[in-house]
Amino acid sequence: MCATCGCGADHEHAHDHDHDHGHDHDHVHPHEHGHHDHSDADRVRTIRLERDLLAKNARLAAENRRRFAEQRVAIFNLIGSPGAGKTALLEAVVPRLKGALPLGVLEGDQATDYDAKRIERAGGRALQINTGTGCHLDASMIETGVRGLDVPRESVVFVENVGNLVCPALFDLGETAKIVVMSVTEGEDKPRKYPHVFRAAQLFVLTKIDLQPMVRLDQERCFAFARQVNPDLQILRVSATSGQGIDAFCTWIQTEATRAFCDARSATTVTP
Amino acid sequence: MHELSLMEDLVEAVTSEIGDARVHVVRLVVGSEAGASPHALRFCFEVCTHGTALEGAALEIIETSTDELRLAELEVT
Repeated sequence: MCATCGCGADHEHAHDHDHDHGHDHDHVHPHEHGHHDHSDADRVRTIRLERDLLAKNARLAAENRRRFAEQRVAIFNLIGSPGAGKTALLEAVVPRLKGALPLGVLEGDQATDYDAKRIERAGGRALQINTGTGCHLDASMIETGVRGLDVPRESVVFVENVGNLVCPALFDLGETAKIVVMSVTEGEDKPRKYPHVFRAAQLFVLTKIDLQPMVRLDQERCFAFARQVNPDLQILRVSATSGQGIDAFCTWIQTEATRAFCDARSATTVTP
Repeated sequence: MHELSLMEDLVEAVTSEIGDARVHVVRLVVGSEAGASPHALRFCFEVCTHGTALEGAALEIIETSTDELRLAELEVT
C-alpha cells in the first residue's frame, strides 16, 4: 500500500524534500532500506519504518491475551469518567459474584489506594495500581497486576481503569472485553462526544438509575446515540445503591467469562 | 496525555533503528479516528526527544481520515 497518502496503490512517490547534494538522481527514488554506501556523507536519505505507534503496547497486549487464555482468566476493563460509579458497581458486584467464581480487582488511579481498600471492605481481593501522572493503564501494568493477584484458573479479574473516557480507549490490555460505564447524572450526548470508547466497548453500563427522577437525562436518546456509534453495543442499566440491574450485570460477566474459558479450551485442544 | 507514552515509545523505536545517523525529520501518519491529537503529539515529541539522538528533529504529521497511527519514515544523514 502507498504509505504516504494511504491510497492503497503501489505507485512511485514524488518527493518534495530537498536533497543537499549537487548531482542528479539517475534512478527512481526507491526508499532504500538500511545503509547506503554513497560517498557523500551529508546526503539526506529516507528510512521507511512503517511502525504502528502502539506496537509496543499491542505486542504486550497480545502476550497478555495468550497468557490469560492459558491461565483461563477473563479480564473485564471498566472505563468511565471519574465519578461514573465504577468502584460502587464493583462493590455491589463483588459480594454477589465471589461465591460463583474466583475474583480479583485491579484498581487504577493516579494516586492513593482508596479504591482497593473499598473493594477489600466489600470482600474482594484487590491490588491498587498508581499511575502517577499517567492517564491510562497499559498492557504491561495489567500483566504485573494479574501476576500480583495470583488468581486461580477460571477466574474473573476486573480492571478499573483510570477515570478517563479518552486515553484508556486506545490501549489494548489483552482484556476479554471493555465495559464503558456512565451515570445518569452525565450528559446523554456523551456517546457522541467520546465515540472512541463507546466504539471499543462491548457493553455499556448506565449507572445510578435510582437518581433518574432527579435528572434530565433521556435514556432512550442516550442509548440511540451509543448505538449510532457502535451498533453491536450491549446495554445494561444498574443502580449500585438500590441493587437494580446488578444481577443482570453479574449474569453478563459470568456468560462472557464462561465463553472466554470455552474459547481458550478449544483453542488449546489439539484435534488428532 | 497518552501521547506522552506514545512519543516515549517512538523515541525508543527510532533510536534503536538509526545507529549513529542524524535524524532531521520524523514523519508520522495520524488518522482522525486514531484517538491521538496531532497537537499533543507535537508537544510531547519536543519533551521526549530532549537530550536524545532525536533532539532538534522536525516532526511532520500526515493527517488522514483513518484510524492509523504509525511512524512512516525518517529523513537522516
